[in-house]
Amino acid sequence: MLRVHPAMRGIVTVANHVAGPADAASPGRPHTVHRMREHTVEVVSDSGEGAQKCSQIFGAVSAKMGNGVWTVEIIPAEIQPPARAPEGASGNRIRLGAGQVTNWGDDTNLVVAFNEQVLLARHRAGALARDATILLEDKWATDDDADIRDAWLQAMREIADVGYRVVTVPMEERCLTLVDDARKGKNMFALGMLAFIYQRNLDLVFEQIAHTFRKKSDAVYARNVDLVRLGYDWAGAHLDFRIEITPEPNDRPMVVMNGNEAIGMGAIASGMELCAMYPITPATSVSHYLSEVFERFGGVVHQAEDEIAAAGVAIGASYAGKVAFTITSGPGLALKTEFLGLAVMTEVPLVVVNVQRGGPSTGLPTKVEQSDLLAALFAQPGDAPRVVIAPATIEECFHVMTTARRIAEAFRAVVIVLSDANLATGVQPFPRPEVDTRWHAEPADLSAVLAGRKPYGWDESTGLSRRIVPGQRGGMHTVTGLSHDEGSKVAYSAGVHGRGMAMRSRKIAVLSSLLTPPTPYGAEEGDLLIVGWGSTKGAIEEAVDRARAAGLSVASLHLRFLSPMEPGLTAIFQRFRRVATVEINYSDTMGDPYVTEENRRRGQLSWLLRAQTLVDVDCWTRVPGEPLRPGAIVQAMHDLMPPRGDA
Amino acid sequence: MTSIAKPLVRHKQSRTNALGLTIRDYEGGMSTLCAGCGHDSVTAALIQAAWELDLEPHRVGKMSGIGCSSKTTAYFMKQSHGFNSVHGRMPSVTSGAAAANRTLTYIGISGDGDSLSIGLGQLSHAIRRNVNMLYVLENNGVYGLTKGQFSASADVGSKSKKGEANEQSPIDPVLLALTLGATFVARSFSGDKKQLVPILKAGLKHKGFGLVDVISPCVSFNDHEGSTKSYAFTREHEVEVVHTDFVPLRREITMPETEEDVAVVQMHDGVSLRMRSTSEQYDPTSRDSAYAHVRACQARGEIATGLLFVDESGRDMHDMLNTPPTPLVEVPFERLCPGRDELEALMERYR
Repeated sequence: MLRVHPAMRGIVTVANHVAGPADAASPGRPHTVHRMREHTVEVVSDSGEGAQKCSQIFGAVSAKMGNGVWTVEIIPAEIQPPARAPEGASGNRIRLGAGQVTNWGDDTNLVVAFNEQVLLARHRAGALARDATILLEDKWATDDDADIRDAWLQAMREIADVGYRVVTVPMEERCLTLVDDARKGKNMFALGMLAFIYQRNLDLVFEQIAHTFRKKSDAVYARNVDLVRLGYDWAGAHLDFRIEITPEPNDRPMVVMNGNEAIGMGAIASGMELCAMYPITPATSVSHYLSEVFERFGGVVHQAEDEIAAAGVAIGASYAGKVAFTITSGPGLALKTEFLGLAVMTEVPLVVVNVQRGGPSTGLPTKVEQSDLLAALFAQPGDAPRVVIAPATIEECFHVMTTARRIAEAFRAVVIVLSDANLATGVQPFPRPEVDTRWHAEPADLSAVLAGRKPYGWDESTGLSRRIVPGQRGGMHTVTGLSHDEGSKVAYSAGVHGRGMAMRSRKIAVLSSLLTPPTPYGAEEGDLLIVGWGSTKGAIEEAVDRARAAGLSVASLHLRFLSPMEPGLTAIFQRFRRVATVEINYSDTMGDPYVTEENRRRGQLSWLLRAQTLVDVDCWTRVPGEPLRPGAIVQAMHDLMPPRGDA
Repeated sequence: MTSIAKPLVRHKQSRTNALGLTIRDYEGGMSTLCAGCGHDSVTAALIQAAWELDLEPHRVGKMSGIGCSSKTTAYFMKQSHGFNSVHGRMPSVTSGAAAANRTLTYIGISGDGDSLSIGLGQLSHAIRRNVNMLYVLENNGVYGLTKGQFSASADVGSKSKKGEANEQSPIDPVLLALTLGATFVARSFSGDKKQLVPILKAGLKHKGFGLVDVISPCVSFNDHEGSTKSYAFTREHEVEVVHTDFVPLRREITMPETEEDVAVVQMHDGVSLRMRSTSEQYDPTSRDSAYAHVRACQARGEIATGLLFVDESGRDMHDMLNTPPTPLVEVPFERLCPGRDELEALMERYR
């Protein structure tokens, strides 16, 4: 039956899309099935209560059943934040769709909350749709502790007028019939409820549970299965609605993973087998994945003593004939700067993956931001040209690693891959990559070096040269971070120094000449062009679709290469009346005190584009510590629209 | 590094080693360090050690950071590969190179600034990791390239050229290494080639991290009266506590197996070390004994030298990482990368 605590009388409202109050008498009662194109669900709990496991399994099962899925983690920064505190809310948002889902959407339609405080956190964050359905643990309303009962009442008052439909659920009470500690069972009960509501295939749910808990005992699996059934049956007996999102037919085999797993698997596919790292959020899970796989296939995950040493180890391994990579986040990139300069100067191939988080300094360790773009390009005393690529989707996280390795190797260059916390922890299905043997890396050429070949025998027109690795006979030289000539001989003279600079810089121009111009999304010309990079692609393109449907003349352009820039940008920009970037980083807003057109600090890509194209590129940026919502971008598009008659 | 090429003149009567190379073949460019610099003597000892060990020059990686000491990789083994990296970071670069190609011989040259100040963390962790390399720390108590500031190894009371006394307590690389679990710890003096060469040879043959702290006076900034890292002070206060003979395989038969008060340590490749302590209580195969003895010498104002501690049974970085015996650089892609079928299988998990 639908349990409504007395304190909630008058609060429970019925959302438009949900059927009327439950018929408490009949357990096998009919359910109204709502057919949807998409629906967004969240599971939130205190940290440690397993909401993440629950929603990860739910997301994976949904993807396997053919739904489009995008999941975003809701993570507190602390490992053990206080219980029943809004700042400790932990869980996932999962956006389900009939077709492909490219971003986390605007707001949540259904929430499972393990206490009213974590629910408040999501309410206050503006994460919930006004007509959202909330499945809320009810034990707190009648808790022995008067403070808790009081907190519950206050929370109910705070959310009373929104229009949510609150359904209280005796999760704790039901779970205690099976387990002694309900904290270790509620998440599976919640999974069971979701499986009922979204009509998930229980066999797939159990298969996913078996996989998730593969390192635990059979008893753990059996208990979890029982808890899922308990939640499923409870929902069947007490809820009056179900939701159906029929997947669009899709014949292509798909894989489901998060961006860090995709980077890890991409690294393996690319033939890089030495990863040097120092633990840092949110990048570390890449190395967890790799060390598991490398244990079976060889290769080394080297956990260094610090971020600097991790870069040093990668450079050492590349020097000895591999193409090694290191993985980090903002604070780590800051520390690696010294070694990036050495790698550029010595032309040792190096791939650096930077999973961006909020900055500066320690910043927002678990939250998304795109604030390392200029650091990736320029953070280095002296001129140190390097390649910067930003994957825009989880699928691209896989493929970017092969691209990065091949460029690093062919150009003897430093390649920085800019991912972010949104891609790192987001889970999305994508077409299973067909492994191509052309991706493979040859072992280092250790044959004797022909007499006369120089360690930096630069081709005058391209700046390219073939490296010589230790262990080869001949071609002996000492690699050095000092300015040097073709023979790696230290030379301080102006001519030699300038020539080395030119050769290292030319490689970037050569790479640029090999890139194809990007294609705008939505339209080839019009009033407004939005330019983005990295993980915002899905949200920006969805916003373009919505804005165009509403009659706005808007298109978007998404850049993968940031250094060198993809060619043809100026020509594209000239086909639009206004150009603006949308980014998750900080910019001054015109109208803020003291801010003028001249001193305004802009979004990082905007700054770069203005410098490169001389086009007056505006920007709309936010640093909310979460991915951008397409609805907010649509609003920004309205605001950025050039006035009629503006030429 | 800056160096001046030396003409290679071959004398018909020059002795050759097993590879048919003369000692001149192991030399490098002309040193640009100050005349009389201790580092040049260390360079000469390294050349001698490498020649006597028949090291294949192209299979040696000379690794260094920044400083006068780090410049010396240009002055020996010009037929070898080298990497002159950044200040204090040579240990990590060498760890990476060793991880990618474990079959090369890595000789790291560093100084007291490079190792004990800016690079103390990297040195410590290379010791913990037991990276297979010879690590020569050319220790003079000052920053020479920047004209004579005290380094972290300067003794309390030791005076700078301008007469100021150092007040901060020194970091002793030998005691540090013993504490951190180093498996090969030695100290020597650049002015004692007879002692230094066998130690360097033993360090090169040691499986794991071989630390050799060499007191190597700086003639320009730290060789005056009042300095505890001068030639005169070191000569006067040096006490050889262990005398080491390096016994190559081919000579082993002619050497007596055991001898009173001589510890014989077998190394890999069949070579052995014969270590004779000058004190009865001292056991160079006991970490505690070595530590206590070096501390006691220090308290008496003596500089304990010799191969102070050796443990050939330690697990090196590759043992700990469980890496394959073939160097990563030589493993064909098909064997190292899971390959197409295995990748497909891996992805099956994510279906």
